[in-house]
Amino acid sequence: MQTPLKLVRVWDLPVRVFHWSLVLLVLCSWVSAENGLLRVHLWSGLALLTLLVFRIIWGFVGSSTARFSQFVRSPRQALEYLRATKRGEGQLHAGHNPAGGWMVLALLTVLSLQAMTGLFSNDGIRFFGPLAARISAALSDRLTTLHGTIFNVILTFVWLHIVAVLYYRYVRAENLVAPMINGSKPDAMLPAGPPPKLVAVRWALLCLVFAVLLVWWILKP
Amino acid sequence: MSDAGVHAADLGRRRLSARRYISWVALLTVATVAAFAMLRPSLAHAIRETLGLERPPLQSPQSFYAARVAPIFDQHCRSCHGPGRQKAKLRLDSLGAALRGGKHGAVIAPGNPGGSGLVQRIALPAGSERLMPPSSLSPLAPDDVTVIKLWIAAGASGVQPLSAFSTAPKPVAQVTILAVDPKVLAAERAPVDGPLQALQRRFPYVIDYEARSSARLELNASRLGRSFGDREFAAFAPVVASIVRVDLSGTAVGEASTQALLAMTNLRTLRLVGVHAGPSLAAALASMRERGIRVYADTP
Repeated sequence: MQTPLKLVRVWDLPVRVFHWSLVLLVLCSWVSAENGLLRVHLWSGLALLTLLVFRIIWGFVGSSTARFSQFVRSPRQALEYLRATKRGEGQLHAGHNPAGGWMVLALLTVLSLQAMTGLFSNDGIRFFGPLAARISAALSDRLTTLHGTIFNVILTFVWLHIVAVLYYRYVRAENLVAPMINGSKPDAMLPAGPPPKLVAVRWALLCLVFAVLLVWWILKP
Repeated sequence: MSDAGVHAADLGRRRLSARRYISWVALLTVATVAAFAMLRPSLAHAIRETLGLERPPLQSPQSFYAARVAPIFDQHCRSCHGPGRQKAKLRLDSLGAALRGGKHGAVIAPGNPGGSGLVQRIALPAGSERLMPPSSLSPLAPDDVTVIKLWIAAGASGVQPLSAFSTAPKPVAQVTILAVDPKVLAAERAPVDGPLQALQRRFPYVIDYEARSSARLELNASRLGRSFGDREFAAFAPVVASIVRVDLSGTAVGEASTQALLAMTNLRTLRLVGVHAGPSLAAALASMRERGIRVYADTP
């Protein structure tokens, strides 16, 4: 008879909602751009930008597993972690591991760049990003090209992310997807010590309101 | 996923070796990249051409495509579907690229204009959201649409000669209207502006600029009749070098104005119908004709 495991909450609700909203919005932005639905693309991009602003704020004031200070390690530590993982000796982490932390940073960076360049982009015909009129047409064109190029980088990073998650699932038998849905990990998969400190959702809502206001302030005519 | 579904036995279970997993990922990555490439016709064609599996379409500079179709694409489509920008991954700046199509596949179906996405988009009614070129750009003329339809119907060839398209609408001559720089024009007019205004006050409706974009003058004193003679004509001496057209028909100018007329170094047209020309004026008119000035006078 198998022994049920004790589960410990590691991901707060805001991080999980952010993660899956980001997935949906990236997909929505992709599909809408490919099909010329540029109004949808615009709103999807603005929502994405707002979420990214929220996540960056939450990275400073959120739950312990959401904080940059908790999961951003030096590149050397990340490489050591990867080498140890290859040997099957990777340490346990409640939140992001050192390599995953860099993936989070990379994705946040490229997605932020993508959202920001989108604000200045144009399709040369009918659609102009909300800030495209504030720069020269030539610069807007260059940022539009960059917007398209960064998307390929995003696809590459997303692919790496998925490959890493599946690596954990099928090579290390560690399911990273389920905790990102239900928020919990078996305590056997956690390092020794106190459980992660979670921050109340109401503070996340406050951060989200601030992010919405900030984006609105940036875009206001 | 319920909490009860997680058991200790699940932990530590290894299903794949890291090496095997990486092999699968590498294989899947290559397949995915290849699938992406194949979904982008232009990229797929470029790869096939590079590998020598596909030849670029034959083209002739004397073809109907080069003479009639390519200029339409260049004028109306190239800004969005050219080297600088490829909306929908479509380029229309070369025959090969046009035949490859864009991210939604081929836009030209040789022999089938009705089934060609390109024709469907350019033939939409004005104001349609999907009309190409979009309403913000210069529209195609109906003859342009006809030319493209005929070309596709005949196989969208790069070598078929003009003679194969006898029913094609005749090409329309291109007229270019040069933009006027107000500062440059004002500088050109500056030397004559003052004298001109004085002359316009003295001889209303007799002299003015030949066009709003020109610094050259035209003088027409014919409506003043015999009240306009050599003395009046002499008053135009300050602007004489800027005058390009003169009509003194029916006026009283005569031999005494010969030198003033010869001083018009930029004159192109002179009308002296009904003016009696003595020997020196007649000789001057003859020399003007030799200089290429169009002279309309009673004297031969």
